[in-house]
Amino acid sequence: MTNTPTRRGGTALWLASGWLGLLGLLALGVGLLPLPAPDAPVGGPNLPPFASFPEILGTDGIGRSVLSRLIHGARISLTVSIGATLLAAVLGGLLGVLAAYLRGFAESVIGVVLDAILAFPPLLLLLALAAVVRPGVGTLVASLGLLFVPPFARLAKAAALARLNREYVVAAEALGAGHGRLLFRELMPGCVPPVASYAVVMAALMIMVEGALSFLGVGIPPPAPSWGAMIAAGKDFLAMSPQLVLVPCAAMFLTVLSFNTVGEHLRARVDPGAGDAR
Amino acid sequence: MIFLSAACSAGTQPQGDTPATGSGSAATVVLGVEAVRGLDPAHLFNLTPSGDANRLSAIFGVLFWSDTSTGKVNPGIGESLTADDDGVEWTMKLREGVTFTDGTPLDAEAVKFNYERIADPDTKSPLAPLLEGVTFEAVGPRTLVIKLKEANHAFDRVIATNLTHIGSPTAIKKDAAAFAQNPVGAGPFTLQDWVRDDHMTLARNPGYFEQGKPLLDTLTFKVIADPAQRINAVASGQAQAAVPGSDLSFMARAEGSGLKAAKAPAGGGPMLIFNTAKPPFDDLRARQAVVLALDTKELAQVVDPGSTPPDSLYGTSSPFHPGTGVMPEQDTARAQELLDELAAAGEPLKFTISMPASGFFRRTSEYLQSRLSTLKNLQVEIEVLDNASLDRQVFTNRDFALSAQIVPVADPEPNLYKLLHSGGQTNYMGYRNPDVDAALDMGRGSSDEGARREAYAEVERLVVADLPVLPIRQQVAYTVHSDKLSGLTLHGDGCLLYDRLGLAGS
Amino acid sequence: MTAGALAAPRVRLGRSARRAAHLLAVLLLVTLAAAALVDLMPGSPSAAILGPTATPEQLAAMDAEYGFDRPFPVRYLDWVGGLLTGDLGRSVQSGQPVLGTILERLPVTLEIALLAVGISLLVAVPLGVYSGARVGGPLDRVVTAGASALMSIPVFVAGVVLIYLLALTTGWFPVSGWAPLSAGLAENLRFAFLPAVALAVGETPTLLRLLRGDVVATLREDFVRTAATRGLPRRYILFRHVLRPSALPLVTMAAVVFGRLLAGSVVVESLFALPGLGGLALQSIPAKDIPVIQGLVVLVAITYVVVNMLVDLGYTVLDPRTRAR
Repeated sequence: MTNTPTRRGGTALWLASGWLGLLGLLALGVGLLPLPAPDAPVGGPNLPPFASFPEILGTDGIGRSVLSRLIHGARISLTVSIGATLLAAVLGGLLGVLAAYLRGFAESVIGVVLDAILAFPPLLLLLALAAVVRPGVGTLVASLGLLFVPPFARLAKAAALARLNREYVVAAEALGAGHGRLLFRELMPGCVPPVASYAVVMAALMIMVEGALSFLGVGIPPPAPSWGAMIAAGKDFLAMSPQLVLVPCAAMFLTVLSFNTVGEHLRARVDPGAGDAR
Repeated sequence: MIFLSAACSAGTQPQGDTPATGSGSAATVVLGVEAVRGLDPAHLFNLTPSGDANRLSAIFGVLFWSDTSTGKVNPGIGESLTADDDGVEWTMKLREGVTFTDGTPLDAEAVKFNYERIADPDTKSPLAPLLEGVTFEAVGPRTLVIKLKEANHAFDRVIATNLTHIGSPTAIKKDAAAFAQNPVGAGPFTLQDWVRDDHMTLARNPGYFEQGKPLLDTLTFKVIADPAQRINAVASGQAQAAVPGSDLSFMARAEGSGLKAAKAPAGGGPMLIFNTAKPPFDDLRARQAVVLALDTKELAQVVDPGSTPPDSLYGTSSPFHPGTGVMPEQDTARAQELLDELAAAGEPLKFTISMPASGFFRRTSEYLQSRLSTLKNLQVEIEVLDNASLDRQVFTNRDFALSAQIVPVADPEPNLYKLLHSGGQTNYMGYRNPDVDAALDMGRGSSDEGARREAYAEVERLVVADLPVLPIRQQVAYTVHSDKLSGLTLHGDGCLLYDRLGLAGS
Repeated sequence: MTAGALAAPRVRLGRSARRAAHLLAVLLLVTLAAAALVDLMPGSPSAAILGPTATPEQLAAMDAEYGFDRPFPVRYLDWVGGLLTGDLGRSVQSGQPVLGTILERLPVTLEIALLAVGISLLVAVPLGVYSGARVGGPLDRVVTAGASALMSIPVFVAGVVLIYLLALTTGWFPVSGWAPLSAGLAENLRFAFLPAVALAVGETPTLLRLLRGDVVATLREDFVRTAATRGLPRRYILFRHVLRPSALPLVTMAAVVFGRLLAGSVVVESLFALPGLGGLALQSIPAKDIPVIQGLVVLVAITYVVVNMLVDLGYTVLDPRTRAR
């Protein structure tokens, strides 16, 4: 919604990209780092930060390395967030373009399904799902991904509708291009940039939703170190060891902020008059 | 075991000066769980002090009550409860002239009606097994004779903990469903206003059997789900007392912020339970390996900062406490040997810990997983279950390997019997040892202290050898309160007696 | 989430009929999905209620009493039948009518959602107008950066921090709990304030950015330029000529936010221990209280549908710019 592409936001953009890049590298290369396993005991519980050398962030309530859990947590938070966003973007993008292209009954059916997903209380769905299937990275990616299909579908539909009447599409149709060609060669490519830039913003939202679920105790099950789970566990010791909450909170905040910053920059560039799909 | 009707204050907290009944004195007590099933004593389900049971004594009063720390049974509306020499026939005497708030008498017939209703399968009372095969006869307006199926010299403890609240038969007969929502008892207070999941307001019962009591005019129960917030409510003056739950760290935190705590240390407590009826823990070596691998001091410290592990099944102040610690010491080398032995036999130990979602048990499971992960030939996973799933999977279907439950043991009767006897209600471990059964039966069938002590020492010896359970933290029931509130007396598993609560400076 | 903007209006009457059919289909699908989902959840509500000591006979008796033993389609149709006559059934846990239970909890959630929207507007309107009027200025840069930062704070983090700062440390507000309006407006607001602010933290940027964007666009239009050349004071122009056309999208978005908060206050309600709908959901799901869960789903779905209808109406009937698109 930023109508002014901020050139001045250069530093912020670089910082944001840098943080995301660093996080991505850490998450990918976590196995190569000389870190203790995220579930291995490294000392007594609730050791303060900077008390001993390798454990510069101290230990959590169980006596596990906060640094190791934070980095392993980045891997899980990013996997859930990016995985779910990709799923939602691909499914939503396809549905949206199909709805725009097919019109008629198919459009109505797609519309009903999308609205039904939107009308379903999201946390209720996720809480109930957590009771049905054993929660884990896979199930979380699938359920969050499905839940966030509608906004992508709407965006893609709008983008596809705008392109349907353009000359090159009309020309292609007149030249006898088949459905597949029209869909995949003419319509889809035009929808990719807005959907992709929106996806970056959605990835930020996904990180927050995963955190909320873990906070309510229905996210990734222990001992996996997701950031949300770390915050929920640390909340019990807020008065005693506030860093157990503050460190993952800060990591989450910075990551969400970075995703938002990058995403909005991309959106402003892709579509200066970007709609209000959010 | 004869009680005199003289007022007795064998409470866990010295009573101090009794404050005068201040006009308009009102206190708020914060609990953790709403009485979702209503307030029908026949459906008394949750004995933990943060749940249902802690409201019922305000409305129904208590026939008898057991001291949370020692298990000693004291009189309330009931005057005395005595057994014959065999422990089969019990005689309950009631006080004269006690009436329910609807004016009808609380007599032997009323108690009989309540108990027969609990035993009736149509009532679907969770308490029904306690009265299976028991018959009642009102031999006078104030005298009820209770005939048991088998000798039980500790039946007074069963009455005092589970069968102590009596409702008005008239109100129950009229409409049992309405009674659960608008109960009629003979307790110190009557229900005035109930906003579900928020608060319940009770007003003083001017016709309470004990003169001058209750001391408060208004009593309010508030429900706050988060334990830390319950303490905060007292600290900020919104409430005068709170039951934060079983975590002792909350008690320390409350005391740190200037609040008082009424405590009752007992035996038992939170314990790991091994499913001894199924692989892998049907093998004693597997249970030993897990227990020996643990540093129970650190475990207690981690799951509940500031606490210590129990050194016996019985509390330190209990007459049954052996004097020296009997729990196994950590021996990692031996644990690894046992694990290697199991692996060499082709069955390396691999199991899932099934735990409730509360912070305490979550930390317990994460600690176990974390520490056990340092041993070889051992693979541990965690499964966090909501309460309904836990009930179904662990307690009903017994489809688990390692789980946990909280069993406070004031006197070995009735809780230890229920836990360890092969037919015990809370023996979810499927533990069967004829010698343990015999010793438990001996303890139950005897009124002689020496014989009981011997029997329960034998029980403990066998349990430490067999390891069906491992207590992991000392048990202390407690209620956090402001220094203005006085007269906090804990009964049962740690519930309050409300008739003696008073507020200073009001 | 502005659904209306994307719908292509054709013939008006046919459109409303189609719209109604669409909404009905949405409601059916949502309730069917909810019923199926709850049906898939392991364990029966009876087991959750009677506890581990229940005998199989007791469980069977209770299943029969509440009809949990009947096949799924029969139960769903029966429930829809009840819904049509306004009967949502009884809570398995408490035995109270579901409709009454929900209505008892609704005011709490409604109030904090309304307050949150109010607080958001109170902050977003002046800041949005001023920063939109001075794009690139120091205030604009602070506001834009601040909005991005606020958007990146998860609601549970905001709640914990607010409790720590404004309740625990200063003692200005109660840590948790609720006072109904009957306890007096001041007392009620004292309890409602922190939860409402926690909710508003995440929603304010949405409204602020929308308004700022609108203001920027409107300021470029001719009639505003004309007004400026006529020498009218800038403040007058801003609020008279610029804010007015932005009011509709703003109100629409506020309605969307409100709908979202009604369905999404679970985290805040659990954190502040409020007796609202979110708390009800949190305790009904683990207890498998099917009638209550279904009732909540229907309520949220209907809210969503109604909000979207209003949004649609707003855009297609009143806003000339949407029609032009």
